Order: sequence, then C-alpha cells, then structure tokens
Amino acid sequence: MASERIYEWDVAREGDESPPFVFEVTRDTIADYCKAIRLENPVYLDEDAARAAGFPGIVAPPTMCYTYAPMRRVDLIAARGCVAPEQAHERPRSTPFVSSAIAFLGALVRPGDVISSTTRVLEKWERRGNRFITFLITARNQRGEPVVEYTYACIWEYAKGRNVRDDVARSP
Amino acid sequence: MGTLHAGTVSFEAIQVGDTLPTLVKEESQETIDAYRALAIPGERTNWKDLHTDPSFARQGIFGGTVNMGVATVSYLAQLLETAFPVRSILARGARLSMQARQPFRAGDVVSFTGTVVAKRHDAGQRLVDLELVGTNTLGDTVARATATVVL
Repeated sequence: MASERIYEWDVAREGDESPPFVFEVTRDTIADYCKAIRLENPVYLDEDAARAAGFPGIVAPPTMCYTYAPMRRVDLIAARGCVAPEQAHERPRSTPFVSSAIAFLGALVRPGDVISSTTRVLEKWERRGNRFITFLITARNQRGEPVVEYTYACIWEYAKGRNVRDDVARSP
Repeated sequence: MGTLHAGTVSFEAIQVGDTLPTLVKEESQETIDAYRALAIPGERTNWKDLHTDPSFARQGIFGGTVNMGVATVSYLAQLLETAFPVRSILARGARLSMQARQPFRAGDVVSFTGTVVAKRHDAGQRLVDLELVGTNTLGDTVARATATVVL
C-alpha cells in the first residue's frame, strides 16, 4: 500500500482551496432537506404558500446552504494530495464541528438553480493548545450572483487532557 | 416583554427582551442517519464517521455518536422561523452564527430559546439582533448563537 499523507494541522495552509462543487437544486432536493431536519414550513414545499409569503415560488431553506454548497474538505484535502484524519488507515480520528457563521447575500435559491461553491482554508488558529481550522465556503448561482457564504470551523488537534468545548468561545 | 410570532411580528412593536417561542428537538440515531443520507451530497471514500459509525464514535472524544453540528444550526434557523417571516431570515444582511458547546447525542432532547437584544437601522435596513441558546434536559448548553434578521 502506498504511504498516505494525512492533512494534519501543520500540513494545512491558509488559502488551500477545493475545486468547484456544482449542485442543481430541485423541488425534490428541497423536500429531502426539509425531511432531514424535520422542517414542515409550507414555504419550502407548496408554491401557493411560498407566494403568500412574498416569494416568487418555493425557495430553499436558509440552512440548506450546507447541502447545495457543502463544506468539501475532502476535495480540498485531496487537491493537496492528502487524506483527511478521518480517512487515515492507522488511527483515524474525527475533526468535529465547533462553529459556523452564515451570511446571506441576497439571491434566493429556487428549484432549477445551479449552485457552484468552493471551500477554502480561511484560518488556522490555536487556543489553549487545541488547534482549529476555519473553512470559508462561498456560493454563486448560475447567473454569477452571490448567494451565501459561511464559515465552518473544526477542531483539528486536541491538547492532551482538555475538553475542547471549553475552548471554542470564539467566533470564526 | 412579549413572545414574538412570525404571523404578527413587526419592527415597530418589537422590544429588547422580547422572546421567541421555544422549539424542542430530539435526536435519535435514525434522525442523525437521516440527516447524513438526505442532506449531505456525495460519498466520502473510507471516511470514519463520527455521526453514523457507533463503533468508531465510541473511541472518540464524545464516546458515542453525535449529530452533525450543522443540523443544530438548522434547528436554530427553525427557531427564527417561529418568530419571523422566512424572507427576513434570507434577506441580504441576515446572519446566523453558532458555536457548539456540548454534543447533541442520540437520545438527547434540546430546547431552543431566543431573546431580542437590539433593534437598529443600518444602511436603510431595519435589523433585529438576537441571542439564541440550546439547552439539553441536564441543563447543559448545547449551542449558543447570535442572529440578525431584516424586517
């Protein structure tokens, strides 16, 4: 088996970026998302309800950005010729989520839209010996209009003996 | 102070200290698995999953599976929807920022609450700032968040 290079915190570079990820939004993908989070607001499922709410028709829920513009660290890491800590053959470990901040940029996402997004390493940071990586995901629709951007921070390496959740009181 | 409802809320009537209706969410391994299957596109090769692989998760920092943090963000957005029209949450200038504080495990029940902390005008927009929190049945804070909606 060829040796694998793990994308450790010291390997990561601010500015590392994934190839574009393309997602076509449909009524079915919106319905699936609503089912996944047990969201029953008819604005996302019923054209009449959406129009009554002031929209031109069904729209994607706010946090569906995590689906149509997913955080693609695997692709970013592969572009560097590495594997994620979760993919390591020996002693795989998780790099759990710690925070996210979403900014909506004005363009609604509707069935038929094709969203293109990229994931970039925005910042590497440390707190009390724990090491974090914050990714920035930016998304545009098929007309080139900015849709949303959000950060997604993960704990990448733990300081020994610490409860990382005590250390994340910091905005990404 | 009052409780806000999406059908009746108005910028003029909102006061600092107003609250949002409480939203209660429970996770099970089935709901965690469903989120992974329905909300996350694509497959990850040889990925050891903290959320859907109990044997791997038992060896990790949480000692078991937990939900995906972004699912908790979605519950906070649902909390906002109880008090504000969806267009106010999706408008340019709207924001939602969350920090995970404790894991949301299978079997946990978390209550999400929110409070208005400011109302202001900025660049011609009428903005409402909120603080949101998710608390489990043990009294642990699972998530803290801030949000801005545009009314």
